[in-house]
Amino acid sequence: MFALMKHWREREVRFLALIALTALLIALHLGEGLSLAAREGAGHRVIDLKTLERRIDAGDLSDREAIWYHQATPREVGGGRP
Amino acid sequence: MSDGREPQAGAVVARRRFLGLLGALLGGLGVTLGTTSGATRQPEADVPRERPLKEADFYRPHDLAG
Amino acid sequence: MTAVTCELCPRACVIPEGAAGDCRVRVNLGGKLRATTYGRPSAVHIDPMEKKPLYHFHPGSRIFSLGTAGCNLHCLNCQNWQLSQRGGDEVEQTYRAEPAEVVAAAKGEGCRSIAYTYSDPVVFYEYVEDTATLARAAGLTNVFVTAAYINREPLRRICRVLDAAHGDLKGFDDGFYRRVSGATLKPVLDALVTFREEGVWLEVINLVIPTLNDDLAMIRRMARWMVAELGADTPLHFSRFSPQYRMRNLPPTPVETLVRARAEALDAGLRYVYIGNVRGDTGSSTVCPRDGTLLIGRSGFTITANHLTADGRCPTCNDKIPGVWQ
Repeated sequence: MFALMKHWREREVRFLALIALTALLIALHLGEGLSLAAREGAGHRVIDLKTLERRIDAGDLSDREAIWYHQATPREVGGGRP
Repeated sequence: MSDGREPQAGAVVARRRFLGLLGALLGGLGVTLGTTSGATRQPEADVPRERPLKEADFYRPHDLAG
Repeated sequence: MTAVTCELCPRACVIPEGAAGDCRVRVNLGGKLRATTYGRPSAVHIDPMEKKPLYHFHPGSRIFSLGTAGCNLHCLNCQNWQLSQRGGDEVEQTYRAEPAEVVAAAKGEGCRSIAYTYSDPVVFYEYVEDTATLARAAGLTNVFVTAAYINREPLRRICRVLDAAHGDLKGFDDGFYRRVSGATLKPVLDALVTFREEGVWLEVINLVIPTLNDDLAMIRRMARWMVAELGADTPLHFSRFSPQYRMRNLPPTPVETLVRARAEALDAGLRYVYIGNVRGDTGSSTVCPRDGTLLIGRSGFTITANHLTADGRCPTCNDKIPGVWQ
């Protein structure tokens, strides 16, 4: 392994660093989505809110208030779905 | 004895290659971010998606179950 | 950030602001849960009643059928996934159809019933309730085509405006429900019992999928449970699986499997067991359990013979045949 590495030039190191940076950015991007999904309880979906709001404004969808729901209790928010 | 110009010329070529690769990677990253940002999912403003019920063809064959 | 907890189905989704429930269409906007597909169906058709399939409810009639985006189940074999597995921000088209417009259109087309179907009407509950209330006042009947994954109290309330339900009992095994549909069995069984308790005419469908839920012992247990909890007169439909959506690796159900399943269920005590989604008329006709008289002959969605008396009796033995015939 080290015998191979001693032949590395600076450009290979920089190239690998770039690959690592790209992988890190991808991981952060994915991690943000996961943390959003896990932030308050579970059993919900992150949606394209801007599109949804635009479609409600355009009349494609409704903002009719639903029945059968309540404000989540701290226990529910903390514990997710039972 | 070695030719002192060779390493210098080699370094220029290596730098060009590296910059080319860097450009390609950054370009790819830009395209990826652009497509995942939702910019390509915007509905066209002039295409109505919601239609009145009277425009529906109730008898159109369909393959929905239920 | 005000999160809300949805009480409609057993998932009990805790939904933060700006997010949707697992069904994709019940969305928390500004701390209030919104039914985003209320009055916005994405599929509206007029079907034969036999397509639902309901065989003991106004046979041969046409039924005005609608469904919106979203579903609270995520079946790997969903035939309607392009509708059910999408949210309001993803569907390509909606119709503006407020409840009064739906009722007027159904009456205008000469339908005597409205079906809430295609996806699962549980997720557009408020729309069903308002439309069904108006429909009933206008002399129409209401049919709920559902996987029955709903909590008991909301179900009891909606039952007040329902006349018939077609309940999908996907298998008689909790592990199967979890693996294939992302749900659980017990709430479904409870809901089917609730339909019966509330006096809603109920027919049950079971899609038989090769290797996953075609075990005859399981089918016998399911039939016995139906006899005990829903009554022997509850029609059961065995439906043929065809490869769909994320379950394209399995073959269509052999007709022989459906025939064996039907025989097993009849042997377990059910009196009206049908086979659906197959060509021809195999196991699709209604015969008198007492004397074998052909009562209603069917081929596909077409009624080929109807020998029931006007008040729904066998013309030979005069036994009352359970159902809603008038």
